[in-house]
Amino acid sequence: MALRAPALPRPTTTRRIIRPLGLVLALGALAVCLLLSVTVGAKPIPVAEVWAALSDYDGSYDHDVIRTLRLPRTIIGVFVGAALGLAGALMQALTRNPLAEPGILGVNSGAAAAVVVASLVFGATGAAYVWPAFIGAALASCAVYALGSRGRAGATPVRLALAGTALSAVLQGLVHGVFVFDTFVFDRVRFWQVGSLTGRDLDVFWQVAPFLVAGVALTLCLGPSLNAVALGDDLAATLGTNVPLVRAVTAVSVILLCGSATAAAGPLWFVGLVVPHMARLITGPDQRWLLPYSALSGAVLLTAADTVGRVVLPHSELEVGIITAFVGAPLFIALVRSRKMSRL
Amino acid sequence: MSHTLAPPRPAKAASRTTPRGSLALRLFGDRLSLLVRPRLLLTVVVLAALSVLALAVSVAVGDYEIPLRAVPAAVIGQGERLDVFFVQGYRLVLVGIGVAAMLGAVRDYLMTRSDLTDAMGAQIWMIGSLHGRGWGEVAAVWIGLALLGPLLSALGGRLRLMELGEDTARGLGVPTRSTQLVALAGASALTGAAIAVAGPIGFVALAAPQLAGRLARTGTTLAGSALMGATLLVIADLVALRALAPVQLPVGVVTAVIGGGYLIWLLYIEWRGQRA
Repeated sequence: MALRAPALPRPTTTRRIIRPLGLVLALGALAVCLLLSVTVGAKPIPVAEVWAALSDYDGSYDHDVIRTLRLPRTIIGVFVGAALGLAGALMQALTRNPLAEPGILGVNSGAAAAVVVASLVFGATGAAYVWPAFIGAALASCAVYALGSRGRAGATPVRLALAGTALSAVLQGLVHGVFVFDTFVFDRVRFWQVGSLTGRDLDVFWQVAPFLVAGVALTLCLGPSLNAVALGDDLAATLGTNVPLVRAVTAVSVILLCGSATAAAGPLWFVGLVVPHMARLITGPDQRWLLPYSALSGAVLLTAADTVGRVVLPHSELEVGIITAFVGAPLFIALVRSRKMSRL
Repeated sequence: MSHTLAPPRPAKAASRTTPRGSLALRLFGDRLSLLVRPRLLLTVVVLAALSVLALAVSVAVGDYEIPLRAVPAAVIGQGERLDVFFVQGYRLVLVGIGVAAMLGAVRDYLMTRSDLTDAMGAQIWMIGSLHGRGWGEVAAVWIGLALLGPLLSALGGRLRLMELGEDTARGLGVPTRSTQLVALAGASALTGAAIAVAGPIGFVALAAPQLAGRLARTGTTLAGSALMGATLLVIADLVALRALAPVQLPVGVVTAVIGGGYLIWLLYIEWRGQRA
């Protein structure tokens, strides 16, 4: 990524109008997705009934479905999607690399390794993967950051990518080794690896919520600093930005956001990679706009994909990880080919 | 699995033609090129196309059962960036990612819906293994080596000059463009033959030329790299067979853990107290 001109291009008039308008539209889309997510499923439930389940719970089957199944997975879907969108945008800003996704920091391989260990040692399944996944993601990405930031130069993008790839290779090798060693662990973990919202209850959400909120709060402060870092390290430093500090805070936010998202729903790498590119088509490179857009589009993409996954197959479900990739990718390709791409 | 941009494909020629840089960068040339130099993605496309081709050859030549089982996995694993021919530059990379994600989703679907034994077999294939290979596979690899080995060794001298840097080599009369192209195509086809019979085994192609060059103190040579690669893989396979006996690991597990660990150690040493 070559250095760009030392000033953000002034937004064009259309972009000045489109940005706030698009934000409103995205909010509207999210509301529609939420509504669909609670009403659509193996058994369609009318909106009035959903409302009754929330305000006037009578213990009927429909109300039970709403309260214990659909509402939790909708809430988790919104937050996980938003977290992944934000984490992806931060990661691409941190590494100045359009291919970056939080997995480069070792989040997914760390989580996978920890889940495998938990499954092997404690026989953990399903919801019990939340804490191992989060701890594994955090440990692996801290190790990558520590290795990448050795020496006086600190954590440059190339170093982070190298360190992350090397550590991921080792962890994945170990994971595969365990799979060969213990077929039952493989049988359990292969479903986790796809990424799914099925069967998550609100407990899962409350477990990861503090980390999510902390990550979002940190991220909201980062927009202007990341804009400065985008001008290049030297220029950013001249403008009074503490580049190493911004990098470290960005990495911490990524770990919090993506770690908790992965803990709640499994490794959904595609969302974090794609959402910022989609958002950048509308917002341009300005991080102050890009971050909220990424959060909203991530939430929309994930809840929509989860809803689609419930209805495409008769009598069964497709995991949200499969749907995001399978529905999201053609959309993404079409966008990329049809519009003038905005650079980082 | 699915989050990697591409399996660490061996790209001997690519790492050799990289201008002199830090050791780690050269070691990781092929992987890094995907991350920081989108244009080199075309290399991967060639690799992918040729490995699918090589797989077809191995199916025609060899034992049908294993390659046939491997075909869907290989198409999914290796063909993931074929679409990128139709677009340019930055878009090319992004479209490649989209295609990779879709194929990854198909793989995930198959992995979760198939029964445990089949899924396990696919899983082992995807990390690379030498278990249960017969003379058909041997023939496929040897045909590949017999066809491409002479071609590549004819390039040996030019490649040595290319190590001095592209500009110097051009100054010395090396046709750099065509050398790069032929070397890349040859290396891709060889890689394809190897992947077709053993699955995508990582890190051997990255480590072998480095180690051979260091041992011989003559810089990288093709024959030395080939011998070192063979030695490394045989040793790794022995470790895979005996380390946790009676459980036999796929050899790709051993090369990933040892190769990745070696790379981490290298980076650790190299970045200690380094300024830039």
